[in-house]
Amino acid sequence: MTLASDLLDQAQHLALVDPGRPRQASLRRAVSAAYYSLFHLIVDDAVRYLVPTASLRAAVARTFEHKDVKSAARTISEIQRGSAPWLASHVRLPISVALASVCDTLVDLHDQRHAADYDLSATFTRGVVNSKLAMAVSAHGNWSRERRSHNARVFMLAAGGLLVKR
Amino acid sequence: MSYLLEPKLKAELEKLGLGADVERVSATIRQNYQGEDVLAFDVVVKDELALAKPSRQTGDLFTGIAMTLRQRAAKAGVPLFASVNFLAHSEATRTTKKSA
Repeated sequence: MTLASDLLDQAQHLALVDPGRPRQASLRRAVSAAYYSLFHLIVDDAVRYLVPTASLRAAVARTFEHKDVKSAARTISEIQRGSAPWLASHVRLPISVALASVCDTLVDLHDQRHAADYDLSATFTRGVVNSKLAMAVSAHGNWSRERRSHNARVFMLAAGGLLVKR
Repeated sequence: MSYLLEPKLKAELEKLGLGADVERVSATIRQNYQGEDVLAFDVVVKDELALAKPSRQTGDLFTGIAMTLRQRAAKAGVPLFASVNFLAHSEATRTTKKSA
């Protein structure tokens, strides 16, 4: 089991832990864990792709910034929907729906994670949280199909700050 | 500052045709925690779907609906990221504030 899959399992456990009226704390931690599961899934693959020396991968993984990963994900999604931002010159069109959906889910979960951890005025319901977790499960599956594709590698390079806007 | 969607655009974004599980769609512009405007879709679905244990099957279904709504927004010329939240029918009326 990887950290990413363990976090996804933990998110699902937290979402279901209160069978009656769910505690906000459980739902909020579920959303947060779901985001981190996807973040670590992508970063783990990125460092495996980029760093041949296994003992150095954890140190390189620490250099990945959440905002850069989110920005790269958002850019890939924009290209898939017909925009032509700076990263477009590096990808091979078309961007698959599967990769775009992974990127969309990551961007969405990033914002939700922030609300879950910091916005005390937000209310999370079981339905909203279950749907976020289900989309995270879907994103894990789609990523396993896409992770070795050229466009996924462009995404990982941009997420690591190795492809930058000139 | 948040903006209101022009009524014709809002109606276009909120049209159904997203499958039998979708009861209602509402589109608004909200701000995320970074102060960025986000197009927020709240999609009310049947309880048995929204309250089901999260699975790949339900995830693929939600993801497909979200992708359709994002394509719809892109075609309508909305340049904002679309956040898509799925609410259970029984929860929709009880929720007073949603995060972007």
